[in-house]
Amino acid sequence: MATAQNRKKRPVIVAESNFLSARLMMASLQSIGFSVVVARNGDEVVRLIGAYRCELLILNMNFGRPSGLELLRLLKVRQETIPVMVITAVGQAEMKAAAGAMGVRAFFDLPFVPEELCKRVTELVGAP
Amino acid sequence: MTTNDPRAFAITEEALRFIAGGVIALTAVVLALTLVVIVHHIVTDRQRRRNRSRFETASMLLAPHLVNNSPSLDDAVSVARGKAGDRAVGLVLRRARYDLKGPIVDRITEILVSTGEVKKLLTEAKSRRDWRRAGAVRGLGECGGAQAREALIAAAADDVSSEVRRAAREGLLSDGAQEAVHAAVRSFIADLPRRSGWRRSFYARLAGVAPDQLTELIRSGELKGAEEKLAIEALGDAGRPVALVLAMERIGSAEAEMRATAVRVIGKVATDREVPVVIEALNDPEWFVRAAAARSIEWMATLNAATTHHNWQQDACEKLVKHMTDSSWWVRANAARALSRCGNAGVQMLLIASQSQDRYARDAAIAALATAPLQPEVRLEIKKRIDALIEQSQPSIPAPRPKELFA
Repeated sequence: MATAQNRKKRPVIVAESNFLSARLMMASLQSIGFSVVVARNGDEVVRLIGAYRCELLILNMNFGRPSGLELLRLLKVRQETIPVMVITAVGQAEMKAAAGAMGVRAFFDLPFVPEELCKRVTELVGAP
Repeated sequence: MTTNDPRAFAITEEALRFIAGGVIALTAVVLALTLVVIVHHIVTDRQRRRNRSRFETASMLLAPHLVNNSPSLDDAVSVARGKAGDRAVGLVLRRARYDLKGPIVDRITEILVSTGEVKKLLTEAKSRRDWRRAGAVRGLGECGGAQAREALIAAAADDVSSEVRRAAREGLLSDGAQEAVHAAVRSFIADLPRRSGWRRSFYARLAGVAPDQLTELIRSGELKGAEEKLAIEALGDAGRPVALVLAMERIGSAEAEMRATAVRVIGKVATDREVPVVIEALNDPEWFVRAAAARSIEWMATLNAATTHHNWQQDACEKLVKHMTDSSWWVRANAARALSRCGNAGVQMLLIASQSQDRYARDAAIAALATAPLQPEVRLEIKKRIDALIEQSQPSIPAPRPKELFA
């Protein structure tokens, strides 16, 4: 069983190309004690997953290059087992279905209420 | 005149001098222009980096206060204005208002008014240049509040530029107040954008902000033909329950495109109860309705995977497998993909289809298995079986190449 200290060493990755959105998510999660690292491109996501044993990947589907979907495909090819929570804007049902087909089961909509994001992440990975 | 005539050489020499002078002058002009472009590039690049750095500084200073709606947000804004400038702070606050929901949104509007950002944008919105007005109007939409709303309503109704009117409508939808949404809808109806992407985008935002008003618009009959379909699809994409009601009303439409729209919408918002309707649509005489029905089954199986009991899957699988030999390749491909999402029953049917004598069914099944969400060990086992199948039947199966698909 992981101790509180061990858990803190396993960060949550926020894969978001928009600087402010990433900072807002990071600040929300840090406010309840999560350790957070931000990845701004696909290479960083892959590197961070390799470097840390991360708890969760929060991925914005409008990630830029590669797109969120391409990144999910890449993670699948690399057989990464990290849980993924996908962030989409309201009205992206097809995007959600495509992510669901890649094995994603957790979704979150933008714009967001910080408390709801924290609650959702805590549900997925447990309290920090 | 012969070549021995010295005057001929004199004229040629003069001409050469003239040409040489022209070349030198042109080269000088080109060099000067190149230099101007390089200097301009360096200056703008430096300015862009500085702006980005200021935006990042302001973001880092304000983000923790914004997410906590902290009482010290006003102080943090003062500090950020000192360090990163008013422009960067204004941008961060406007963008944050777009990203966040809840009481913080109104607080950001108050700060934007008190820091003079709204006043500055209101002045810019009176510019004679269209691009400047459009930018200011977009900014006002991000600010929100009564002052901005008033200016946006006026711009959406009266501005001479269609781009500014469109930006004003976007701003009014960002505002979200009933009065603002009503003005945006009136402006949109009076001035329907020519590009379907813009119209689709408007419906998508309206479905997100004010689904009731969009429903009212659909029911009023003001949207005809393609517009009605776009609007209903937008409600479905936003996952609004009312989309299901509208789609169920139109599933028996005499117009095939409307039936296809209804089936797609049901696929996005339906629960297990509506599955028989979609399965029934697999028998539609039009291929694109059948293709939409197969796609909808795929969406239902994927989007509701965690919540439904999937009692319908066996029934759907039996119907879908018949469409593996549909006359339309689109229906075959969609049916195979839907089967790949229907759990073990679907995968087993695809495996049977992958050994079919029907080449089209076989190809569609192999392609769908390659993208099916399978456990690694199951995937490996299937890959072996497909490889063996290919070895046996070579060279009669031309495509796809399973070794590449399963790489």
